[in-house]
Amino acid sequence: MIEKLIEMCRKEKREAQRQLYEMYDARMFRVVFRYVKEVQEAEDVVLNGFYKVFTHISRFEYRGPDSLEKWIRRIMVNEALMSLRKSRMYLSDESEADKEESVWEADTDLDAEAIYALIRQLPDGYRMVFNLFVIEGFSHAEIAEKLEITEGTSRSQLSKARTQLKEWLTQNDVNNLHAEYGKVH
Amino acid sequence: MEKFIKDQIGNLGSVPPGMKRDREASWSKLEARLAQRKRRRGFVMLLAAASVVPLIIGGVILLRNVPSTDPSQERLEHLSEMIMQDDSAAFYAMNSGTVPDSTLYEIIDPALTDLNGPYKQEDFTTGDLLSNEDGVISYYGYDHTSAQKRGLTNQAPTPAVGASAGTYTVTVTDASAASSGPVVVFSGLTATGTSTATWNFNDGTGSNISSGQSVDLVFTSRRDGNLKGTEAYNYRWTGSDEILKRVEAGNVMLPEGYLSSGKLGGKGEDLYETERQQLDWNEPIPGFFQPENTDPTSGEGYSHFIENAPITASENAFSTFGLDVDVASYSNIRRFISTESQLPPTDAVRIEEMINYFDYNYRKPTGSMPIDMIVENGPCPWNDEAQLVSIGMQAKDVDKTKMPAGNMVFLVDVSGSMEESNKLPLVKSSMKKLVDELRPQDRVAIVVYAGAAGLVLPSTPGSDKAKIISALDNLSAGGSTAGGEGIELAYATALEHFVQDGNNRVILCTDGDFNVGPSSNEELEALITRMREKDVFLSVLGYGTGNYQDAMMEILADKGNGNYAYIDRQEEADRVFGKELTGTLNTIAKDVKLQVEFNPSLVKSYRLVGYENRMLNKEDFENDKIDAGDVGAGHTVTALYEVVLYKSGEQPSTAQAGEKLSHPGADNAPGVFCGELMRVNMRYKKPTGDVSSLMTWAIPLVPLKIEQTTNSFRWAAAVASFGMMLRHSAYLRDMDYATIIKLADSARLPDPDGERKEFIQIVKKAEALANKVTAGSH
Repeated sequence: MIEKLIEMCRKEKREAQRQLYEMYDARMFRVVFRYVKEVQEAEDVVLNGFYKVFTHISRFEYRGPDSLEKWIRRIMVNEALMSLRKSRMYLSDESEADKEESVWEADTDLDAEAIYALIRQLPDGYRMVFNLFVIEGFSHAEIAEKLEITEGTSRSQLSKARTQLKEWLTQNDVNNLHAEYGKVH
Repeated sequence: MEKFIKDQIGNLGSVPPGMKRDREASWSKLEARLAQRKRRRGFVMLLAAASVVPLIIGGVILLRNVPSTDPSQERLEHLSEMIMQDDSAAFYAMNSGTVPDSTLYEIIDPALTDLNGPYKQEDFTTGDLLSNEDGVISYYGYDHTSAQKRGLTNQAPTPAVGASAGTYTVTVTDASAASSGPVVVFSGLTATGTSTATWNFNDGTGSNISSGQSVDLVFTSRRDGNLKGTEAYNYRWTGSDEILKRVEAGNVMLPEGYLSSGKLGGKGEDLYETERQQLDWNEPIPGFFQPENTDPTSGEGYSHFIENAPITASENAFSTFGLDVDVASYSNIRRFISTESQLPPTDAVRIEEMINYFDYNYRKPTGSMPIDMIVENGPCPWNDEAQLVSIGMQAKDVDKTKMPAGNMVFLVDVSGSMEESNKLPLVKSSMKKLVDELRPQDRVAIVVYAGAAGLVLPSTPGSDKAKIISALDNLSAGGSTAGGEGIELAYATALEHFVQDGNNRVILCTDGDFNVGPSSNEELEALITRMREKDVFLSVLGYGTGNYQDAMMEILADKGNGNYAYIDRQEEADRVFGKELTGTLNTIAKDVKLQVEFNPSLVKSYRLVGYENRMLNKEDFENDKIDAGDVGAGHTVTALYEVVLYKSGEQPSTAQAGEKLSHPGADNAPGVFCGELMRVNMRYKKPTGDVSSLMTWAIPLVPLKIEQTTNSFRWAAAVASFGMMLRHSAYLRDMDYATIIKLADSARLPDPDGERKEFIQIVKKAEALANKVTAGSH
């Protein structure tokens, strides 16, 4: 099914492209919106991302059911980073390496939406690195290369992001953050 | 914690709470960018084409200048490519049961070495095999379009109707082309003629028939001894220990007299009596027509049918049916209850037609999509162990001014029985309504039939309204019916003024006494089918009471790719001729079929509500020869499934999260269910197209509480409940009139024409009638 859809997208069949778009649009918006703060910018990134998906799908190699989503996700993350780079300088090259690598314990009853909102509140640099490392699963070396920073910076940004998130989470008022999506910053 | 974040946050897929996104607008932007790009590229391809040999398939240029290392693989790929071309090369699933012309379909060798050369017709008739993983169905492709393009005759098998049940000899001359078991699935025999057909063959259960082996198939039909387009069948072959093959619940019934050896059409003794008894063929089979039952007390004819029963998803995950956009059953029921103060006979109640009578507030399709689908999933009001899944389909609207020009020939029954006030006078007043809507480019003609048929209004442009109205005023009833002659004259008039790409249509207005005279019903149906193939469609408007032949009317409209409406009063006439006109008379997608594949790891059983006489075999979905319902502009169609899910811990041990999809044909590559409830596949053809397109929707399991459901959902559920009440449905576990009224009342808006309000009144009246019946029986 998904392979057929890919096949059809390679042939630039509009209905197939639409189907693929509808399958992944919401999820990809969520990915991009973790990186990009403003709604309109995120929408543009998703659109550019899909344009790249459809124009480069002939190069995509199908390697099992998840491979397409992973590939689309990678494109989206790259687009998001490019967009951020274009729009502003987001990262100061700090090199204080706070080596805290301890893994958090799972709290009970965590609300995914609330955490999502918290991640979006992180300062640009923290957010990039946290997203790339924790959620997308890149290594510090890869992040350093992507963001043109040093590995040390990547580590320190991650550590600060973690500290900040923990602090917010212990403040116990995470639910207050829900309303923020409608606003344009 | 971080694992939680990675898994949960990383996989969020819904719109963030409190946020609105306009996905349609985004898609339109993206589509525009992609379209721009395609135009530029198309140009380059045309230039490049000069240096290689292009294959032209239905307007799509494919460049193939790379020799393949594995021709059979490439051929397969190419074939699947053709199948996927939604507007181009024809694909024939030769499992249509069409007995092929043996010279055309002779199994020649398959190895296709010259992909760059001009196509030979044989290229795709030679055992090209697309086997889906479950090993049940294979297809033969046939490059129909390209054959035509090269000036060859159209080599599609010519269907002929009326092949009798009998024994057919199938000789396999060459099974060598088959890389896995080729299967011939006959889903209805439409051809006569030869008694020998050449097939690659096996039984669908794994044992191949070897080359040269002779196979006797015993076909049976389910209605009247004649095999017709969509009939199911059974067969067996000589030398097989298996008793019967392809016995499918819900599709098959043995006819009287099970036939043995003999020539095509020959009758023999019943060799299988014992087997038939063992299989308990007398048990009613859901979705299956019994012989026509005419109620002698009323003189009205309704086809008897048995309600669809629940089907276990692990046994059969597929539910296939043709859409029914007719609404006649509802107005007929309304007439029974409100005018005649009696409950309708159960066979007059077609639940899908009741549901589809109402307008639903579904999202409109955008872009090139002719039909969009909206699915909702909530509690089932009549069965607390089930979910109700509503599949809503919304057809695109057509701007009235841009509608194709109409060439309409009204065929009006003016026989004596039409004299009553709710018949001919209603025809006349409703047609005047139509005249108001006519544009100069439309044409109208009127043919009447009674003792003799006559053209009372030659085809007249819509600008000459006075002439049309005066002809209408002069219509009067009298004489007996000679419908056969009338319909021929109507078709001849329509053909004479045939408008290319227009809406060419004969509209039959009658109370149902359609006396075809010397010709038989089969001939009449054949005529309608022939005309449909010439793009002249037939719509049927039923009038009156007491003599009303519902079954016949529906069959005629079905054969003619038309709509069928029942007009019980002036308001309904206004509705059909005024507001509904754009849709009713303007097909935007034809032969629309749905195939739902349920995820067998989630779904225990499912039951389709209504559509009993629209059920298709699984393989009919892929067969473009099989006729199905047509959808007009702006129409909404809704199908409800009652779905029972596994409770936790109840799942069969074999079911896994990534349950494999086994959709045949276009989707025959293995796919997996990714936790969704079901996949909905829809096939449709453009109004004058012959090749269907496929759309697929994956439907997640998002059960809503009843108060979270939309009004559309609850309304459809209320109407279905009422229909099941009237049918005394065995599947109505827990329902009463008060609950229906409450449910309907909660979903009453919007109701611009007061139709929903009226429905509630009808339910109330039905309740009173039902109580009276109960009281009277004591």
